[in-house]
Amino acid sequence: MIFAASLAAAVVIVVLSATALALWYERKLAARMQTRIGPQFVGPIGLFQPVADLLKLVQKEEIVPMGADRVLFALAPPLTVIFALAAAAFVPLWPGVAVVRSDVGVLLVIGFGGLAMVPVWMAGWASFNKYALLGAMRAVAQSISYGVPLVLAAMVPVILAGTMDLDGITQFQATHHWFGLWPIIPGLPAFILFLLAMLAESNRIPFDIPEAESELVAGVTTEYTGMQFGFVYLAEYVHTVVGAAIGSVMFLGGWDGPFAPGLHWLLLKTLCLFTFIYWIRWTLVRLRADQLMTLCWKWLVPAGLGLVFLSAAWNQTGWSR
Amino acid sequence: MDGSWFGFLAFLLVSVISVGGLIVAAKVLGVRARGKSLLKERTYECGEEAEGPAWIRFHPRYYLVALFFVLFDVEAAFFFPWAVAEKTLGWNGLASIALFTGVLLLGWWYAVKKDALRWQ
Amino acid sequence: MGYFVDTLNSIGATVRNFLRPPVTVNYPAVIRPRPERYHTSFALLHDAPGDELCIGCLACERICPSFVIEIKQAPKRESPVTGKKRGYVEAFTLNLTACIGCELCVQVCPTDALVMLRTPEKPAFCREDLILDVKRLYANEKEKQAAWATGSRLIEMQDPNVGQPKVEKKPAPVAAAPAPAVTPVAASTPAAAPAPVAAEPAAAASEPIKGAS
Repeated sequence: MIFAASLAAAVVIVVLSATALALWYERKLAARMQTRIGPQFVGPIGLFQPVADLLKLVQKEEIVPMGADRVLFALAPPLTVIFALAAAAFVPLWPGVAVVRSDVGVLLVIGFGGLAMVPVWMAGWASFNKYALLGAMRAVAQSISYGVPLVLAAMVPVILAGTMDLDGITQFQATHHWFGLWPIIPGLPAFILFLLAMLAESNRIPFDIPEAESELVAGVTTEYTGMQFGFVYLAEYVHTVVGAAIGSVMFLGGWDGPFAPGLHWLLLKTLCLFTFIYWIRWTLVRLRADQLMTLCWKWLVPAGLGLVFLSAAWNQTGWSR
Repeated sequence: MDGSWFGFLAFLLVSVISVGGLIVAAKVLGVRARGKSLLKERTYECGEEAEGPAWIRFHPRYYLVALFFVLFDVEAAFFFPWAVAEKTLGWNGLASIALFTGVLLLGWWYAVKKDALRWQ
Repeated sequence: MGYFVDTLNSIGATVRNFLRPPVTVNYPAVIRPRPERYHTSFALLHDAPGDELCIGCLACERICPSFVIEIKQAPKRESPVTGKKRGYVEAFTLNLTACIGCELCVQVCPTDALVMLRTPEKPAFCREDLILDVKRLYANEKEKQAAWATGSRLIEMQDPNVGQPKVEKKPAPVAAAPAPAVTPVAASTPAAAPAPVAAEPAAAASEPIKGAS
């Protein structure tokens, strides 16, 4: 009981501080990719930049626009953070240990990922702003659209491992093979599909149409100020960090790895995936809304279905043992 | 309630506390304007005067997306039990789920042909 | 398909950039050598004996494309130095908030009275700080470093007859190239031009910054 509680507290604190570090890391990475230097004045090599950002945001005045639904408006941003965080509770940290070990872990993780769009819609609706409403509308449409390929991609490890328990999936990978690498045909494409869908679900570039700043000011965050804006911003990063962790659990073997404790491997794999996600983010441009929907419904959904059947067929062949 | 779900409660509690702490910090440290300014509380529409209510009507294409989502999510809900038991069900189970997906894909193909999947 | 190839290409480009060293410098701590023609704010000058150079001819006010200069002419009076009757300004206001830094006013100045400065402009604390009146303009002459350009230098630079003979005098670097290829403007680049006008009071301008290419 005490162990579970302290583990939960530790995970929340680690995820939040990892997110703060990720903010710095992303800015440094982006700077190098654009041959700049990046933050460097706050602390050694700019490490305390997120702290400075946080302090700045906390000090700002909170403005509630006229006509806004005050309760929903105030409630939405903290909820985005909490829902984005919640998925981290199911990540197996080292063999047999997670904050929650559930037999339907995959489903719960995807569920909490999808739940994160509810406060986004709350924020858009409550802002009483056309841009925010349109942004929220797009966010929801995009999230639920990409939820389908996400589920299909997540089904591939479930089929290959024969369990929905995230720790069970990792254990299967530890004893057999990492699904992102082998079987290469349903595995690697499913991994890529999972990453794409996760990026789209968390509204990151190149799928950041909901907050397309050239069309919609800032989407749902248009009317938010100070820490309220900070929460939405934070949630996006938490979502990415947790998503990278779940991606590495499902496709890269999670805590599995030689020489080092499981947690180190999990963190390393998460960092690699995170780097990859931000590499994509700072390379590609935003897709158009219609391209996004066409990509999802016409290509990714059938592709996901195909991958599901391929992995089922792989299970039936002799090579899987 | 077994131990692991107690862990999840603790997890939610800690995350609510940390987020709540930030909210309180923002309330305490945040600056506050002395007077009420109507201009500041206006909704931001790129400097133009906001016209009418913000809760506008939007395009029915979003409705279509919602329909498709329900369709495919129900399919996913059917898939998961099969996916877990796939190894024991064997080719037989694969054939039945393929039949189900075939019917679904027929509908999908109809939607593609009707241009319902295009974001108009 | 082309889309995917382009995507992969651009992903590769980001990695190549990632491996390159940053091209930016740590600005307030490291200051790059400024270009020789770097110019920021303005100053009005005095001549060697100490008389104001500005004669209030309004040439700069008329040429200014963004109408930032406003001059009030003073009645003609005798110069305390030479004793000759000449024009003076009573008020000379230059509004930096709208200045585009084109240096045309410097170029038309017949007496080389108005010059720009090399000293980097610091952001002002209020708008009034950006409006230069006569007092500020003359204070700038003493406190700050003038840029290279003055009216006569700029005119000389554009005169096709001025640059030419100088190139012939110093044949070493340029004569290697065929003579017709050297256009008059190219021949009188800032590095070569200052020599004949070095005797002027504004010569303090040619500050020895040679890092710029």
